[in-house]
Amino acid sequence: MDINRRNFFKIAGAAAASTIAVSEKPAHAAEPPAINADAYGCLIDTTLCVGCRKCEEACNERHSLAKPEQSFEELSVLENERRPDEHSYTVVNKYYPHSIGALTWRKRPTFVKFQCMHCNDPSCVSACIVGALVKQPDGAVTYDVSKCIGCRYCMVACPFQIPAYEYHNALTPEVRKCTFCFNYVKNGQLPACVQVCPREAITFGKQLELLKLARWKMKRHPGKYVDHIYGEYEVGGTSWLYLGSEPFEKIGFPKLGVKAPPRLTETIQHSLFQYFAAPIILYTTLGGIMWGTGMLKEKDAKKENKTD
Amino acid sequence: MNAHHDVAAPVEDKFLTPGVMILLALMFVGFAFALVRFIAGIGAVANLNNQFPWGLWVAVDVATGVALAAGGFTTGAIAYVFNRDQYHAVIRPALLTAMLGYTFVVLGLLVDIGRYWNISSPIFNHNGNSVLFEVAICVMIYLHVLYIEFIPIVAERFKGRVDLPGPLAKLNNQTEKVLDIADKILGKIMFVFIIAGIVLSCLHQSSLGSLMLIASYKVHPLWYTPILPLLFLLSAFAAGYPMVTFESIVVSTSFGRKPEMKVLTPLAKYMPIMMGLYLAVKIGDMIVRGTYVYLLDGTVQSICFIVEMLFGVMLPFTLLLFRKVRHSPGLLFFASTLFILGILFNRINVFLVSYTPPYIIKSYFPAVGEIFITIGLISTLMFVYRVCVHIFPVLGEEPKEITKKMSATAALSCALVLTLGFNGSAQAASVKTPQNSEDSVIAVTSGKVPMPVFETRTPSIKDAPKVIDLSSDLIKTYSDIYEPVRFMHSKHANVLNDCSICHHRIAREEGDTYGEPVTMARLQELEKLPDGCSVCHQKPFDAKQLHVPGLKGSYHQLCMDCHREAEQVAHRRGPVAYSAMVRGPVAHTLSSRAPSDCLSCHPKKVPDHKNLVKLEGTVDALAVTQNCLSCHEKEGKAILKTSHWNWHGSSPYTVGHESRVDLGKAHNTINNFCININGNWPRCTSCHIGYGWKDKNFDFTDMTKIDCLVCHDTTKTYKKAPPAAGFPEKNVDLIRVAQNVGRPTRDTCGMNCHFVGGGGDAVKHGDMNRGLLDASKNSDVHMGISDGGMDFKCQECHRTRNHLIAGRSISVPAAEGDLSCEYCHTDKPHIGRELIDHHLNKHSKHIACQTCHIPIYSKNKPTKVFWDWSEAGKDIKPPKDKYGMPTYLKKKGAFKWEEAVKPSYMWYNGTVKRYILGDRINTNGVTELNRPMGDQHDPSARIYPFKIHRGKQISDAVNKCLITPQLFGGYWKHWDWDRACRDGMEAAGMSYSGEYEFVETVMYWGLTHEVIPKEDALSCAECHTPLTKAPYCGSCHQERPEVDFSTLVHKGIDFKSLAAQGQDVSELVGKTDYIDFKALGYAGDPIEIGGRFTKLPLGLATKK
Ligand code: SF4
Ligand code: SF4
Ligand code: SF4
Repeated sequence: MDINRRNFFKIAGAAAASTIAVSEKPAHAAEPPAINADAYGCLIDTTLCVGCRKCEEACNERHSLAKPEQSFEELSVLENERRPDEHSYTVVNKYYPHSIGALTWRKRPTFVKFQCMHCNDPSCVSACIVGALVKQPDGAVTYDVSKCIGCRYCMVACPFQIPAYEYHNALTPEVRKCTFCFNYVKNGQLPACVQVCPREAITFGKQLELLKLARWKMKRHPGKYVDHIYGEYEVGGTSWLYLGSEPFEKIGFPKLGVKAPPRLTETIQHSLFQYFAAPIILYTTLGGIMWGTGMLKEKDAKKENKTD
Repeated sequence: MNAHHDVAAPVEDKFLTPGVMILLALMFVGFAFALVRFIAGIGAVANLNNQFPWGLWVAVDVATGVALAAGGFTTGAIAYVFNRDQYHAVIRPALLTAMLGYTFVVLGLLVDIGRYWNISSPIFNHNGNSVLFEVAICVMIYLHVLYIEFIPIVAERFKGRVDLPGPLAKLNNQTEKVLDIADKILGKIMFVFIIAGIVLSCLHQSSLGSLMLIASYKVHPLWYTPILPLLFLLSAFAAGYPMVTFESIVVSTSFGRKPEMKVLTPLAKYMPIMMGLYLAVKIGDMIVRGTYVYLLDGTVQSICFIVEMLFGVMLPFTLLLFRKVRHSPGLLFFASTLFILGILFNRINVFLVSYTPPYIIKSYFPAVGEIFITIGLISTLMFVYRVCVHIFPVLGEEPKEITKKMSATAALSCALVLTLGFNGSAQAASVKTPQNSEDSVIAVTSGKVPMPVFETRTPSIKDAPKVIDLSSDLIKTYSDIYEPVRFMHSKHANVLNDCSICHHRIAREEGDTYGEPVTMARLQELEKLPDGCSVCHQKPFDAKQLHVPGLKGSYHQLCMDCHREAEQVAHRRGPVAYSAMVRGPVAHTLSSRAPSDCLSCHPKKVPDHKNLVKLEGTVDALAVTQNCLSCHEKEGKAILKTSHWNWHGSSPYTVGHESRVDLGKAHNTINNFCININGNWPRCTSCHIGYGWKDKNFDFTDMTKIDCLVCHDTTKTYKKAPPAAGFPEKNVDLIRVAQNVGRPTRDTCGMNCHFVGGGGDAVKHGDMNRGLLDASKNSDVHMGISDGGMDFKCQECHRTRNHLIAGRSISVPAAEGDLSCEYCHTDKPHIGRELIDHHLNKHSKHIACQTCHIPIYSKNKPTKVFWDWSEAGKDIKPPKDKYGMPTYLKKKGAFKWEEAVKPSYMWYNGTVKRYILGDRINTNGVTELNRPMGDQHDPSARIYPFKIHRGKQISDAVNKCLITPQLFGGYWKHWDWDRACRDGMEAAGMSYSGEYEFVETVMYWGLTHEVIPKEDALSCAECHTPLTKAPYCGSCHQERPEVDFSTLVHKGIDFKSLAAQGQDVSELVGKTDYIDFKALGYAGDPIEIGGRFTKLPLGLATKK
């Protein structure tokens, strides 16, 4: 068969087209994990939280974290927005969501406890290069330090900016975040923060039940809550849910969409690597071109020889 | 050196040039910083933080490094895949760059990842979902492919020339053979690796772009696009040839050769095509996603984007369209460099500039360490490159003549394959906000219809239990940080007046934990007391009833929701609202003072100090304090501000001295007991909460002198030695006491100090004595332990914060906190809705609670009521009075004691006129040392009961001021008043005329303890004489069958039966006009003549 240049690129084009065909199959869109009926979660009712920081203290004690400079009884630290870090898996922040013109109404603060949301479809888990982070069937997103290489991609990935890193540990730095007190919950105990909270601002239970409870609370106290359970849909849903009387953007929550970021990356990832189709096709195509151009070159050489 | 070999050969120039020296220096600095990073951690050299986990290292060392090493696979593609032999000249340098580039990417990664020693983990632990995993594996394989591709170059250099040093020389032959075989085999199958290299490159170059896709909410929309991987791939394609060009020209220049324009110019033809494609896709993407709206918003991000696009892509693209540019080494170099910088900038933009996490507590800019490590790595790379070209035949191959024109489509075909692949799979990341339609809520105002409350029906708030200990084992199993709350139930019942506010549901039958909602009327209909909280509220988070808070939660939710609504207001300054004992008409109502912090309701548990106290052997008191302070420095600092430590403090109630802070018995107040501290320190300060206050030079800023144990002892064994300036008795086992510290008790507050003020039991205070230690309810309803007393700790009323203790005595000026009966009992203290309650509550504006509820003081212990110092110094046998108390002591003179005394009644608005050292005495009569202020016309004054202590004490006969005699170690030793006066006044820093006299003084002591049970409070008839006779209340009120007026008005203290029980009250039997209206300024009994501000209701005239 006489392959001329034009024909050759037609073939190449066909190969390319087949790649598209393969990659457009809907089967390649990675499915989000469904909520496990047994998954636990927590529902934080921010209208109940009074910012006492007992949860911070209890978490600190249970996980033997470094003691902060100021005692947990010091409530002035709430005036600055904080984030969970390597020494505190959870922090309580104080927000003043009400303003009259330029004036902030400081009398009615809202307190919000933050910790890992234990997403249903966690970005950190999807991102982790070695699978050190795992979404457990019971809801917790856990971390296995022995696998971790310390690349901090989970931190980049987390939409809630939760995982923290021990930058000052030279040899055995760890990524640190709320564990959902995994080892305790497994044994039928409560997370430390849940257990200590005097106001029971945090309700511990099966995630699906908590969603029902949240709706029940909304119905029972009409007008008390905004019509939004934070975490019900955000980034594919989270095991920790929030109720609030203020729009969540005003009390320190990021405005997030319903789609879990891993759905995009995993879809790209899987369409490229399903059965290694894309690399193989590319490989053969390139091989074909190489072979083809080699042939052409030989032909040319022969022609030249002849004309010589 | 000959610049024009036909084939590549090692460079033979001088190796160490000034440029190389600079490289070495930079390498050294980078290495030094790297050392710090590996010894002290990333945090020591980098500004990376929890908000910005990736910084310069990832953006430059890794992402840009990989992009710029693209020259390797793109030249491979053109030279081998498209069989353009003429480009072989640039293949070797590009390959070397790629190989070194990737090697340094890995080195850079080792610096950046925290657990670098675990870098092989991805080989064993796979996460196929992770983009980074794919990048890592591709880079790893590709690095090996690059090394394999380089083997022929090594073989070429050493084939036939292997000359291993020393003993290894034996292996020369074998090595030679291996090289030969490798070279031959590789020569045949090299194409496998070359294509693999291209495929791997395409994969990970694009995946580097996918890396940031997962951070969809953090990357700025100008860069965030699902086709970011495609853009990365296209830009890598486009970067390949500019990089080769850049490098080739730099190398030629630095080795003094001519730029290899014969290769570079044809190569440059492809550049604008690649760049154009990249540019087109990028702009197209921007238009499709509509992100051009961000272009001109003036943020750092938009400016960076514009700079990147204009100078990094468009400018080089445009330049390269010109033939002249492609043919001029200088211009070509300029355009290539621009594009390379554009790529660098793009990677920095994608990984750093565009990255905006939701919470930026600390922003990021690369630290010096990061920058130098990066520069160090690049320098090392350049250095190694130089070493390599000196060893291996990399440079100098003569380019073949260019024979064929290249079709643009060919160059793009492999890009197209991937392009289309991506477009098929990538999805736009448009996200919808969740809609929660199911729960549309209808606002309903749940109106509670106020129900009339009828006292005669059960339950009424009168049935409310007084104080409930909210203690529960259930709560303790969950958290046991605080002591249980002592809940003032009847107070809350009184304030709220409706049980159903808290008791919101009621069980319908036995065992029903769901119940029905309830109102007061319903309860009364059922004649049922409401259920307690724990009937329904039990274990928290019971899966069967998740909506029911647990017991702890329900307490806190219910209590604090109310308390938070009525938040505590700041005290108003001024004598009235600030008053400790008086709550006049301008004082805040109680509803505004509900506390909502943890410590106002329950104290924290004191942990067992057995193991916390680190003391051994024999220790002295100061060592104990040192040990306490090792943990409690904050508390130590707090003590230094208290009046218990300083014995003076601010005294806003002292008339004429409201803003002074130095008033107190430490220097300048005086009493008619032991008079004053000056000159008498070691004796007086045996009650001080410190050690060693033996003269006026005591250092009040020295925490190490604090006596913690005198208040925190729980063993009842700690005693201070009387004249030892506060030090304990020798035989106290200090370690045992220290190991058993706890909250103060009646033993510490009372027995160590306040019950024995004035040097003996009940001497000073008329309402406090050792009898309170194990009081019965009859002695004091609050402190009573037996007979249904409430067993209050001192702190339950004297609330303490930071060691500042609420409450005060009128006898000393310093005050640290407000306190009154109304704190708990409200200003309508008489619970109930009957007429009598109404009348009694009306009293509370004019009469303090104490007036009726402490009808007699010093009920069980005689207290001193008179002290005559002028009699001192006689050697007579002390006579005893009817209570068995001595009425004379040589040291102190003559006294009188009294038991079960009727108080004196005075108007008091909370302020006090006080005698301060140096003031002139009242030469016309008795000098009042602390006079309660207020009179009948003062609306904030009320009638209070007082113990009056009269004295005759020493005074300067000329200067007419009271004298502070030195008694301890003075008069009590030499019995010479003159000398005692002289020494004492000198110690006080005052002048003494040399002549003394004894003058009469009086002190008033407030009475608030020894509250009698309410059945024994003063009866109406006790004060209001008209009520003792028929028709009693009937002068105004109609008779009612169920009320017996006569009993009603006489309900209260019965002195007759008290006398029969042996109390010394016989002269009070049958007494009327108990508080003496005339003495208080009334013209007569107010029920006959009207109140101080009001006329009688109904306008009834009095019966004469
Ligand atoms: S313990 Fe509960 S109430 Fe206190 S800060 Fe934490 S969540 Fe809020
Ligand atoms: S909140 Fe962040 S760290 Fe926690 S599971 Fe979700 S993505 Fe992971
Ligand atoms: S669940 Fe456990 S780890 Fe997480 S915040 Fe609560 S106590 Fe801390």
